[in-house]
Amino acid sequence: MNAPVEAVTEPSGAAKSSTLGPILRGLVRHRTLAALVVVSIVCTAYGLNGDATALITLDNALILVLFSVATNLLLGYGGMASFGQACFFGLGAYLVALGWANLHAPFWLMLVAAPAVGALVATAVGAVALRLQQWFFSLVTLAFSQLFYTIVEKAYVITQGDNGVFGPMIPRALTEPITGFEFVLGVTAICLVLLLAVVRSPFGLTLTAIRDNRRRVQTLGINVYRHQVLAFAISGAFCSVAGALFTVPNQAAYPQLFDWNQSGLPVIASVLGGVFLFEGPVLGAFILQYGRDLLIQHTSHWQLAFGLLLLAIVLLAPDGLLGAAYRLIGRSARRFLSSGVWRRAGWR
Amino acid sequence: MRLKSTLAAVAALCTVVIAGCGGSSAQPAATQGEVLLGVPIGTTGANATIGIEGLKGMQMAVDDINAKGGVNGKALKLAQIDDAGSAATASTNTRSLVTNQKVVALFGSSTSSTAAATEAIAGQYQIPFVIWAGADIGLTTKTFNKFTFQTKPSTYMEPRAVAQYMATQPYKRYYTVGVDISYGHNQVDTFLSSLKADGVTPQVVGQQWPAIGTSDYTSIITAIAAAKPEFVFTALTGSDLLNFLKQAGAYKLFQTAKLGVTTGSDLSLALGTSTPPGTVMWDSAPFFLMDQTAKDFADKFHSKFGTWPMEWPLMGYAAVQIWAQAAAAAKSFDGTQVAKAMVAKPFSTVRGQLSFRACDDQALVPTYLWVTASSADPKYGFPLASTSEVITNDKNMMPCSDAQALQPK
Amino acid sequence: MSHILLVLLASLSTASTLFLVASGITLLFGALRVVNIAHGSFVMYGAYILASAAAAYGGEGWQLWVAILAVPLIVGVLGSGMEISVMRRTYGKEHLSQLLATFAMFYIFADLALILWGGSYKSVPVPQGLGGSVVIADLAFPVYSLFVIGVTIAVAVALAALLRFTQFGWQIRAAVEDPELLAVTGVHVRRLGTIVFGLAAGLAGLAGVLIAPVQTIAPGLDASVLVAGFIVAVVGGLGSISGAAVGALVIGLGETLGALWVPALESVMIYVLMIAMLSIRPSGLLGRS
Repeated sequence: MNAPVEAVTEPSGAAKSSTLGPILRGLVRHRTLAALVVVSIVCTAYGLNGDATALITLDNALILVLFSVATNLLLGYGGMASFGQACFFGLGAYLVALGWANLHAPFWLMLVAAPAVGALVATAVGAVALRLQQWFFSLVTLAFSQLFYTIVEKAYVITQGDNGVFGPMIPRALTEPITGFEFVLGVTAICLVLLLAVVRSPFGLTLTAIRDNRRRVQTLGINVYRHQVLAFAISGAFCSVAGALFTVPNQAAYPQLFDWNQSGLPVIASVLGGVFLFEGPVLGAFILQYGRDLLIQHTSHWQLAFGLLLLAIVLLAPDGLLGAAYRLIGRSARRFLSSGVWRRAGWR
Repeated sequence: MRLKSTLAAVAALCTVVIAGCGGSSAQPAATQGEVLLGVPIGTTGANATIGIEGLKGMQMAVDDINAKGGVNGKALKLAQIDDAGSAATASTNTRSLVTNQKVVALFGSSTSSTAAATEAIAGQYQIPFVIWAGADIGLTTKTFNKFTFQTKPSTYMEPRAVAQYMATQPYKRYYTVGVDISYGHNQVDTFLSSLKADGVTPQVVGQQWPAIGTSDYTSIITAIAAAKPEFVFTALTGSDLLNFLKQAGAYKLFQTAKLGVTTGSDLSLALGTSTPPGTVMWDSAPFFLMDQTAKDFADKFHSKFGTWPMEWPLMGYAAVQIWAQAAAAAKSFDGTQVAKAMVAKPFSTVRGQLSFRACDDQALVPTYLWVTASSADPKYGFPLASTSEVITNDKNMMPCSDAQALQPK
Repeated sequence: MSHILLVLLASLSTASTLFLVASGITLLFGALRVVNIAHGSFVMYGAYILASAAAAYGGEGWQLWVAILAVPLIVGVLGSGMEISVMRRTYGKEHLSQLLATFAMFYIFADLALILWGGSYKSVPVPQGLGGSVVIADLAFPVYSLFVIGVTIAVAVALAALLRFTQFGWQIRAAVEDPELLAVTGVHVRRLGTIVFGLAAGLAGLAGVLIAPVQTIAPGLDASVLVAGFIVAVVGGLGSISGAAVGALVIGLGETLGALWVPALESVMIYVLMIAMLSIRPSGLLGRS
């Protein structure tokens, strides 16, 4: 796999400017953080003005963002196509739901437990699944997803099975739409920053190196298997947090949160946005959530629309929509900067 | 290459937008002089028949009521969104119906889990929710709220009614087949314990728990055949039940054992002349066993749609009638007022007189049980009853104290 | 004693349709290295098209038999069409791209089916002459199931003969072994790919045609068939047709015996089997490592 991690080239004419260039260069280098900040501001502004339903959709979009970015740690950065991340998503949601229903435990405890339990279970699943590669790995993760779904459905004495768990499982304060939204946004933002730190760390760089050339990394003496299992655990932890957050706007948990359709969502979102960009899944998740909610109101054929969109992206724009957008912006910016128009306009 | 990819991405986005805008079923909005009734129910998926048939009945009720002037001066209109039986989708859809389309009442659902999802939102937004399908006992206990009304015999009541009848029968060797979700387990466990309470000690020669959505019942049928039971009690619904029966028929299973099935009228209409004779069936609204009002409804239904109604059109029709009468009595569409009116007095519906008890909003409704005749009735195209019973269920409801103990505080 | 025979026949009957689905999946993986998530869709389309034919021509008579023969061909053409229009563009790319392309096709096919046939159940009558049952040692066994077993055995033999004795078959086996070398020898690998896809889809369509009279045809059939088919293919060994046969027999027997002895574990058993197989021996029972 020779995938670029950074899909944008710097504007070349910028070297000649004195103020504009450094600004642009800074934006490019820190574009991920910039994008996240922009998105957070937009969300907050929208959220504080929106009504209850709009906020719930926004909450779900943010939860999908976290879910997708966590999945993309494996998919884009690690080269591991896991179709089973819903295992941990559902786990987080059920920890909160069953903690409330069966144990009468406080929400905060379950929220903190979610990443811990998620990491533990992910280590177990990953230890088995990562002994295989590529399609076999993907198939095993798919099987795990369906297995968890079946187990949760069957163990109805504990999990209430197919009925799901519904009820006031979150603190009263969070049931208020705006407070709930702020909470979800806050936790998502923190988790995204943590994930960004992981990706930029030596661990993260080794992960992409393994993706690009597994054998070479192995000859360097690094235990590739252990590295990948650790990445799987980290991803699982954050997927669990996303699942726990799911209970805030929805106050529900049901077995379908474990199945392969749910597992496919973050993969689709990542591919839509662009798997080789950190913020790619962010865009993809928003498109997926809003697109689906919008489509469902007008037509029952949203599956067709998304199938076509996914196909188009996969075949024609493998960098994803954001990757294509960056390329477009980069090209126009370069053209703009090297055209000299701005200099003639008096800018320095 | 790059230009092509960006163009493609833009084109793809347009597909999504266009598909969204040029959709086939835009959601109705209430015009002046109209109120919307929300129906979050599955019209696709394993239990699609419930939604499709029930909606027909509901629409007939809406048309009849509008012809007489509507309710409180407003015309009624149905707003339905398909959830394919998924609780997740039902949740989103119900919320959309309540907040975007401002429905004044909710009706449903095709599964107990979607009913629970809708119930939660109905309680949150204080919209009356009249359940005419989806009868899990949890709906009136664990997840209960006072805006939810159950018009079907619950999974507490129905198996007790069946056990009441089976206690009079001479069978000893029982086999049970229950779908492997709480509905199936509740039905089977309640049936067996009720039999014991009625003084019959069943000899359970085997139990099967197929996963919901199983399509191949060969292995289960083989196991049943090997055990040679006298009676097979099933707790399957929808396409699961249909598949099981079609496949079991080929193994001639029901020449040696008697079979007990729920949603009998669905099955009889689906299988027609190949309905196995001598089958014990039960149902909440088989028109051919009910009074003249129901039979008249059936004739109207038949002349309109060309087929005879299962229980669902009657259940849906009655549900709309009940809500309409309650709203008229309350002279308002406000959820709290209507909810109060729902428990105040009995309603006359196409299913007969019906009233809710206040402690859990469960309607006192009978279970109709019959044994299929040996040949199909020439008028209807499916076998009617050789013997039948109407079990009134007044002794089969959960004691109020128990129900209230389980309800959320 | 008698019910041992019944158990064996019932297992064979279950195994038959599993084999037809899994053989297509394994063929695609072996020859083209494609994991086809849309394979269940081919099965579903076979069933739906037959249902339409049955509704149009009635359940009796020779038209239904013609449909039974024609529908797999139609689905085969559909498969080849998918290969030409979609899959060809993914061959040079990431494995994930292929997987996602077939995943997208799964959604597209599912929705097209809703548009074409709606959401309600469809039903196909058992063809005239195949109804009724045979009494085997005081227990009844459906004639139609015997028919399914017979057809599947015939198809399996034909497939084995195709792979063993025809040039086309050798080319497929060579593609499984070493596609690059095959291209070097001047074989039209592209066209081979299209034909293999058509063959796999045709097998799936045949499976759909055979299961249509036995169960209701409704949305969701694609997903349930896909999962079962994949598990069988993986257990038998992705890439090996005889593995698909062995896997089908194992799973068929396991399901029948499981229902007999441990009904409570039935639904989780197949996933556990698949995970276990992939962990212990990823190449499956008869696959090549």
